[in-house]
Amino acid sequence: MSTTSPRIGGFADRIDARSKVTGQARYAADVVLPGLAHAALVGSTIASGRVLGVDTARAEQAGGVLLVLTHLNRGPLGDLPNGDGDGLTADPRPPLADDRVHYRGQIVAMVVAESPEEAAHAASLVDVRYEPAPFVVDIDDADATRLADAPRRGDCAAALRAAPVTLDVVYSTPIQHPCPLEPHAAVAHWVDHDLVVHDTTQWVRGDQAVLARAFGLPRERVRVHAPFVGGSFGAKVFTAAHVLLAAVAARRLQRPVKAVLRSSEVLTAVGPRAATRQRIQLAAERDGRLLALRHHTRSHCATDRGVADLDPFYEPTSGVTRMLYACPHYEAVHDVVPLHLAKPGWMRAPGEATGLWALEGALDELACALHLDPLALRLRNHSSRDAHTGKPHASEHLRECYEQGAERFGWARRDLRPRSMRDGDAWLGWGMATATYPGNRDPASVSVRLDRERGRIHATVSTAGADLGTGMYTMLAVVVADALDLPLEWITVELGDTRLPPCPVTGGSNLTASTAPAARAACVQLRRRLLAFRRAPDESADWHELLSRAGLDQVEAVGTTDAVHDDARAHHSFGAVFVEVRVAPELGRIRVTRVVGVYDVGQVVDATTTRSQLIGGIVFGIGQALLEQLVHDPMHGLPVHADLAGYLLPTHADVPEIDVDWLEDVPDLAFNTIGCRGVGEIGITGVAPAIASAVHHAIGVRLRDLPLTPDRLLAALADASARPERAK
Amino acid sequence: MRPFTYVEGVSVADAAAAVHATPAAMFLAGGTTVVDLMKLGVLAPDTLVDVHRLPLGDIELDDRRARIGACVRNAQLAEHPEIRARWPVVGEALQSGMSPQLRNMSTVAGNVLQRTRCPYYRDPHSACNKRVPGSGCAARTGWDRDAAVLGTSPRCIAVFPSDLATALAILDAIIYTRRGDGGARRLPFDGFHRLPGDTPERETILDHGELVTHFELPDLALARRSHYFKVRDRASYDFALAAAAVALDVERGLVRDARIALGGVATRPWRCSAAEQSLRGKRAEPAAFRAAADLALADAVAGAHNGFKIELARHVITRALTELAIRPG
Ligand SMILES: Cc1cc2nc3c(=O)[nH]c(=O)nc-3n(C[C@H](O)[C@H](O)[C@H](O)COP(=O)(O)OP(=O)(O)OC[C@H]3O[C@@H](n4cnc5c(N)ncnc54)[C@H](O)[C@@H]3O)c2cc1C
Ligand code: SF4
Repeated sequence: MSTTSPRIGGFADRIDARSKVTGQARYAADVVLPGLAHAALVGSTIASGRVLGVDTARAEQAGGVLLVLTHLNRGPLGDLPNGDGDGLTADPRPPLADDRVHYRGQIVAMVVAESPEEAAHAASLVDVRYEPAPFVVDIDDADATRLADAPRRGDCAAALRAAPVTLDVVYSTPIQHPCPLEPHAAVAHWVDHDLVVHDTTQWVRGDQAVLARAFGLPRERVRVHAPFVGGSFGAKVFTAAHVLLAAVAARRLQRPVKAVLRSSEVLTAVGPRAATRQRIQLAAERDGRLLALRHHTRSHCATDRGVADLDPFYEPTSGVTRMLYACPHYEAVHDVVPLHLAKPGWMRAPGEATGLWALEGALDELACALHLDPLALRLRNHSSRDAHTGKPHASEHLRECYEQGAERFGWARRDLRPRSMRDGDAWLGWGMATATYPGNRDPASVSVRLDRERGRIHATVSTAGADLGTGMYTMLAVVVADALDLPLEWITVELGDTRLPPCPVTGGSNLTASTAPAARAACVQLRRRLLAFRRAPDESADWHELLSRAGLDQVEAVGTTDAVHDDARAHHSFGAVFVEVRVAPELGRIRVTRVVGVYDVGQVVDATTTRSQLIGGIVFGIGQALLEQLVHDPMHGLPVHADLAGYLLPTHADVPEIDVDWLEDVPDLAFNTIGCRGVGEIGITGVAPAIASAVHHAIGVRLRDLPLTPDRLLAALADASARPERAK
Repeated sequence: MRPFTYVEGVSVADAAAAVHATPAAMFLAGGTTVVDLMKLGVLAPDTLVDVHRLPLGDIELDDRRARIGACVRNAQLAEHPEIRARWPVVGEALQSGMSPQLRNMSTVAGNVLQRTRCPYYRDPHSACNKRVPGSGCAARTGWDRDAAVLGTSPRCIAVFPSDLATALAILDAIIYTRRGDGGARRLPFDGFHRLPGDTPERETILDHGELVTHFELPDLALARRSHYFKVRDRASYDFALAAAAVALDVERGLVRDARIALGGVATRPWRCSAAEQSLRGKRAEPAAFRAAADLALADAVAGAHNGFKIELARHVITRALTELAIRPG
């Protein structure tokens, strides 16, 4: 057998790299079919109200136009499912359901034409008359509704009253948008009354379920393809309105229809990360031991549904604050504020990325108030169990992450005082934070097939899950290569197709933890079957030989993983992130100059893609900290910067050398047979608070509102010099 | 995007005449402003006259001046060794803006004639006096964080965003044009861009169909010691929150002459003459630079969210001059 087969945990080359670099990989918008027609969308220009009338005459007469869909002629569509396992839509009502407008940019018409240019032109000729209604797009400017879910333990109020040290601070995060570089796109066509869709989706089976319900078809008559997805970060979980409308138009026209969103449409009509305002109240002993933590969050939601129906589309900030640190008294309440905006969705580490911003920021403030090292404060409050449920972590190595991270960074040399490091005309500051993300695992099936091919063996690994660019192809190939001792070149991986064995949504960093054990289980079955054909237990015959002895050209096995049912233990990943910033206060300029992150993610399956996921997560965190915010105009309800020239993401120049590492030999074998947890989201967590803490360390100014832009820094400095006692 | 006719300009005279003859025609150079705004539905020319292949793509130099064709690519100008040596502020300004791809595509004239980034100008459904005269100004009541603090009018507060134009403002540049009726003009850069006043839709003194053919930079001793300093939200590929183009002539520690222009904070390239004068005869030191910066911003007016730009611009001027003063050579 080949000796060049990669091992779990090693660095493999990405098996899909060549096809992507050479343009062979076909993304949804690349799909071209005979007779393809092109759609363009018309978005509402009011933020709330009704459509009084739509004049489509000029659009219909424009060159190349085939169809103009509005709520008046869209035709019947079934109700949409909206529960887990059943697919999800951004809006429980089908698109173009009626005349009501809930946010600016909501689709009010769709034009289909022979070419994209003709469609876009005709879309500009659709004349929509509106009756505008009052609206709110500012989270600080609207009434809130309290959610019923209010986790608590102990008596927070009493502890806050009695404690020797207390802290009461408000942290905020703006609306952020996942805005993947690949815009949303769909090609829909009907083949003998079956629907075939090529979509940019994290969840082909979710799409399938939604489309089947909408068109009254059995699921198996809807086929969804998403072999390659160009980034997602949560933006492609819901089945979007244009996908349904493309299918409606394709049926009407009896032609394939393609709809590709513009980036302005992605930024307005695809749900963002909800804005949050988070009040954190801490009570502690003088030595830093936490006594109480109260977390009050306000986040926004959409207006178009009853409040009872809001869950779970809010930013679940308290998931992380309740479990992370040992603290006897805890309470969280969550208010949601309906705004006239597209319904928020999930963006990378929903809840953790925002909840940790508030909690870790507050802990840094507590450390400063107590003249404690921020790392020492974390260690003092370390918990080896989920602090809320009391379940012990099955595999938890956070202390080692702190230790190794601090060592690599040189944290021990840190002077506690702000303004202690000068570098030319700027100040340097060091900050750190804890990173964490739950281990998620969902039922998945993976098939592995071995074929005898031209004198050697070839393996085909298949599952319906989608690779969002993260490395699923490579990861599954590595698992199979490792289990069957095959070189990577002998393995093909097939993903993102509803005809393949069922697989959950790619979300919550679950896919590796769900599919890798399933792939290995399939390999174990194959091994067992084929090894029966050895002539002696120690015979070293290869798979090809064994298969031919079995008289077979092909053998296949399907492995499965079930959902996590661990009543006894908790499963979380952890990490520690250390950051250096360089601050030029009078220019309002903050630059990240160094990042070290050390993580405990269980067994790493493939080091190459794990490393890029962790680095990518940290880059995401830098964007969250310094740049990203979607501002809405209060008078018009429009996103002020609805393109990538205005919604700023980090460039190379914003990203320093990032040093990431993970603990070896810490498999979480109670979690799955490989011991792996996901790595897609933990990287972003903790980065923003570490940066803000570093800014405080650099110049003694505390910033509690993201992003940390020059205007905010200059205002805080002016404030601090007006009230010097606060700048201490 | 509306259907339009595309015409390739064959000669300078024809191109100017072609636009002149059609009221809704426009010149197309690199297209990085025009095509972008056409896709947004902000510009809707019925004819595009492509000028990028006209013989206006050369940089000619002699002892007295540089003559830069209107269609020279911004990358080409930014990287030209002699331009970098004699007018360093030009290359520094260009390289602080756009991306390499945009610099390769876009032209010098196009850059100086680019449109504001005001988000309401870029949204065809918002009230905007610049886009639709008399329709109002949504920025005044909306998100004005990026708006100007100098040169504003009740009708418009939009920043003119070009980095290159800020540099040209301190270099006594001259713009040569060919008019649609065959005439030609020689326009000092100083009065080329208009203040918004009551007619923010008119951004320059060019007439319809007037083609920019060349830019001239006269040889200027102090330009050899010139510098561009820009502050932006992200570290690269971003427009200025505040920027300064500066030049200094210093003898034995005393300023003989100085040039200062601001970008990112004003409605047109903003020369700071009073600040320049205040420096003459002063020691080339931060204290004098700060006093000059205060003068430069003396008339600044802020809206709801852009007040930080006033303080920031002061620091930017001070920093630009300080960096230049300590620069060897
Ligand atoms: C994402 C993005 C980021 C950017 N960042 C920056 C930045 O940081 N700093 C900065 O300064 N700029 C920036 N820009 C703007 C960019 O510099 C301009 O778009 C570009 O310089 C325009 O040049 P062009 O040749 O493409 O002009 P075009 O788009 O072809 O034309 C622009 C205008 O000039 C007119 N025109 C062109 N040539 C002539 C001529 N010879 N005579 C008369 N009229 C003419 C056109 O009719 C049009 O009105 C950015 C642009 C984008 C899209
Ligand atoms: S500032 Fe000028 S460009 Fe912006 S909306 Fe007002 S008038 Fe239009």
